Amino acid sequence: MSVFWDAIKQAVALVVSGDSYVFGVMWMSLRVAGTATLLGMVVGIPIGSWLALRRFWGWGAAATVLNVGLMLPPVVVGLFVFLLLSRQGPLGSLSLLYSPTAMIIAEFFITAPVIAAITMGGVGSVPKEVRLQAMGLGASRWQTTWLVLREARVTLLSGIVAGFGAAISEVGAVRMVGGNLSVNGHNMTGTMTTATMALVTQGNYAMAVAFGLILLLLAFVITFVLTRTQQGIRRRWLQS
Amino acid sequence: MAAVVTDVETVMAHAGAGSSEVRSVAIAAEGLVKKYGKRTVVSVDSLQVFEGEVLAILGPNGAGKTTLFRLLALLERPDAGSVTYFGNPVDTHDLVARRRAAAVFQRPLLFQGSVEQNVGFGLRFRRLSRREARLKVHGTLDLMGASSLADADMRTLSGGEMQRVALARALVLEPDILFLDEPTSNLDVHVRRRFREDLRRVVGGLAATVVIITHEHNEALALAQRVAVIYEGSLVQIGTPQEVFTHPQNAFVADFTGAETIWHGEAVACREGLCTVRTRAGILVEAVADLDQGAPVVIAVRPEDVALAPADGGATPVVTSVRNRWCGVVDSVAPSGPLVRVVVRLDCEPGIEAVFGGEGEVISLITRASADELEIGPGRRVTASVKATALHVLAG
Amino acid sequence: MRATRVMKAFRPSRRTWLVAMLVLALALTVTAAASGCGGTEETATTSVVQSDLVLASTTSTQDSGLFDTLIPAFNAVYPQYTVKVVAVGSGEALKLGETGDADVLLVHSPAAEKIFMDNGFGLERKAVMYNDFIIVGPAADPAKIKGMTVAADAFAAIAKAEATFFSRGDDSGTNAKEKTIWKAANVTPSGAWYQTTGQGMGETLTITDQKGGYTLADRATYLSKKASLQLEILVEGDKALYNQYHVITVKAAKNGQGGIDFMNWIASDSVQKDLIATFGADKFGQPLFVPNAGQVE
Repeated sequence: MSVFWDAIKQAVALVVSGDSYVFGVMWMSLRVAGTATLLGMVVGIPIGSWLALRRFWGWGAAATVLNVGLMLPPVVVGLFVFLLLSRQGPLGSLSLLYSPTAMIIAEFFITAPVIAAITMGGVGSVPKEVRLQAMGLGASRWQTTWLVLREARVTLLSGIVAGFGAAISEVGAVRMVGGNLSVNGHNMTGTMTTATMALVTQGNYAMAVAFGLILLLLAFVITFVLTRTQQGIRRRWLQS
Repeated sequence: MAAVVTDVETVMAHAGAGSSEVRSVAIAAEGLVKKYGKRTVVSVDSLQVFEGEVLAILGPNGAGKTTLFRLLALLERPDAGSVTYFGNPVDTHDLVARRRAAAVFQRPLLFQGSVEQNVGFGLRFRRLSRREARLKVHGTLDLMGASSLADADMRTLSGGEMQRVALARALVLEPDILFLDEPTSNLDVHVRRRFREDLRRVVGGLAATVVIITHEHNEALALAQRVAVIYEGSLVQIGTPQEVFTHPQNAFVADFTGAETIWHGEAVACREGLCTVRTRAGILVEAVADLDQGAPVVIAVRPEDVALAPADGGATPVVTSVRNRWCGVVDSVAPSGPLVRVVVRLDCEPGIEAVFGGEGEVISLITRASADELEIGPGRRVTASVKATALHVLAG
Repeated sequence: MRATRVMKAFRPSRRTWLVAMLVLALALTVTAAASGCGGTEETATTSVVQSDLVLASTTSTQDSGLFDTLIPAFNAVYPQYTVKVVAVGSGEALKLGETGDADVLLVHSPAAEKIFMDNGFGLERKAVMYNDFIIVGPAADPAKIKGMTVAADAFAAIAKAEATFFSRGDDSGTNAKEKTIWKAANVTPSGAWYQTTGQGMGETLTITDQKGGYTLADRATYLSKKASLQLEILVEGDKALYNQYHVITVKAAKNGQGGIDFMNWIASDSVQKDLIATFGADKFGQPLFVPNAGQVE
């Protein structure tokens, strides 16, 4: 058990001392996952809502493909993006491999399907009559769509959180396209997850545990906020 | 919100007698057709809703009335035909037209939020300042007697309160046309009556044109100035409630508007406007009509037109002008509010061949007082009588 | 609502659900049981008691593919051991030996190994084989090091030209060698051109290749990945690039006997001559390692 305690003590010391590498890695994780999730929202929410609200020839296939997105193995995404950006690949000339941009691209393809699929489910559960009722009060199509999104907002929020969670905890894909590079002790493309893996291989358990603790803390904070928001909605209901 | 009068129809005024009135048309539908797959759900050749009137569209479930409502409210596109509001052709994309109307659905479908937020929903698209909107919202809630609910979260409301709020949400928009789809169907029975009274009061005070979809003839009778009966997607009769209920055009309308006893038969002989009809069950009926001999005919009797007299032993019948007197036995007695609904099996009529289905029964509605005094109960022998003028004779 | 109707179309009856769950549970149990049974074949005639043998080695050795040949051969002679090869940097391997998480080590970081033995963590240390390191880089060779004979000079040239150089930075044998060369060149590498990957040889080569930089690699790993790389060998042959592998049995080992068996086996004549000396010859045109057990310390 002392292995744990030692590592934890050293980890706390690292964080408290403001170690620049540790904070650099933390910031990279948040920045990459955050950007990818934002892009995932911008793309995923419209696609998910559109599939939930409209019907067209080939809808069944499109909906199935989207639901596959929930089960998409991230390592496959990583491989795909790696081949895309590698020197021999179609986008190789852009020299994007082993950069934060490459990691954002990979994580985007992980979060967007998750957000889209959950949005489709949430928006689809809003009864169709709600749309008609909104129209019956004079709402335009966009205003109706906005209302439906608002009615489904609890589910949408959990979809966004799920997407962010998938992004920030991703290891394999990020490692493949990010490379966990650093220069002179300054982090370049390492994230908490890939740095942890490398640190364990090197035997630097203290720093690895530091990142592990931060990731756990982040998970707790986000879950806490999400649960409070959902409960807040319920509490207002109970109070009135 | 002035109406544009370009289309004018001349009609006998329903209120006054004999005076002709020029009435402008709020909604006109021509050749409306809607299909779901292969099934034609609505096929209405022509329908006009006059400005300021309350029209009820009455029909059983599955008759297409909700679809017709959606087509008229511009919530669905017809497969064929057109709709005009105040003379201007409109369609589902016409936002300006849609904003002249407001709809209340069968289920209240309140949105997440407080009552005030719900009622103010439609006002957001109509360029009002927040203060103006608030004033209107509270004014309408007052009108509906729901001011106390203003801050409540919609999930805490009872069914009746929700429907009240849904109605307020539509009324606050001061629409030119108000659509109500089965406004009381979702309510508990004891709440329904009160709500219907409030509805009548509110609707009566509006200048707007009101279209009510319903499957209950009582509701149509209570609220509407004109009734359009819809059956299997088509309108089978339009007129004032009195016209439709007392002069149903066919068996379906008769049945649906409450003429509960329906007999099929053949005209035997007619003389000077009085016909004898033999029904399938062999009952002889005398009715006021003008028919060819042998013509198939449908007789409809409203329960409130059937009188009962005890018929056990001895008492000689009083001589009256009633031409139809049939003997039978009381099959069942059921309370219906302050009245009593009696089913009489006409098993002792001479010539009665078989008592099958409804062809051998007549249904009567009498006061509880009479039922008690005459001791009408199951098994009692009675004579059922109906005036020849009260029978509805319909084409077979 | 149509989405649920689509999903409802797929919803099987309650009984189908139960059967599916049962089959799934069964499949999982069988899989778990099968994987728990160890990797070697059970002979029908003799019942062999399996024991785990943890061999900590380096990523370079693993990436070269040597273990794919060695381990089955070892098991042919010693079927009772289930060999678990843990490929990490030499630094980490030595740490695993310290704590007894590994039973035997095959590493190539002489300085660190000596400290390990001096601290009394190891039982015995034997030389096994050697190969060499090479400096690889892009064909364009911006630092113009091609053909140099002294590794330290090449490193100095790279630093002067500030050409991109990728270091493993993971405390491995390769990393240790790299550091000694920088020291010999009297250069402390720093700057945006000197990047650290923190990963194994295979990954570092990929990164170096994709980014068109320089790196120090062991010949075995380079050759085994050559087909997918555009990097070329630019500097080789310097004595400083000599790379000696040792096998070390560990004091704190759980499976001490297994460790000793492995050490004796890998140092035995037949293994040295038949397996190690020939490994890679048919595939790469030259053997990747040169066996030298008993010839050096």
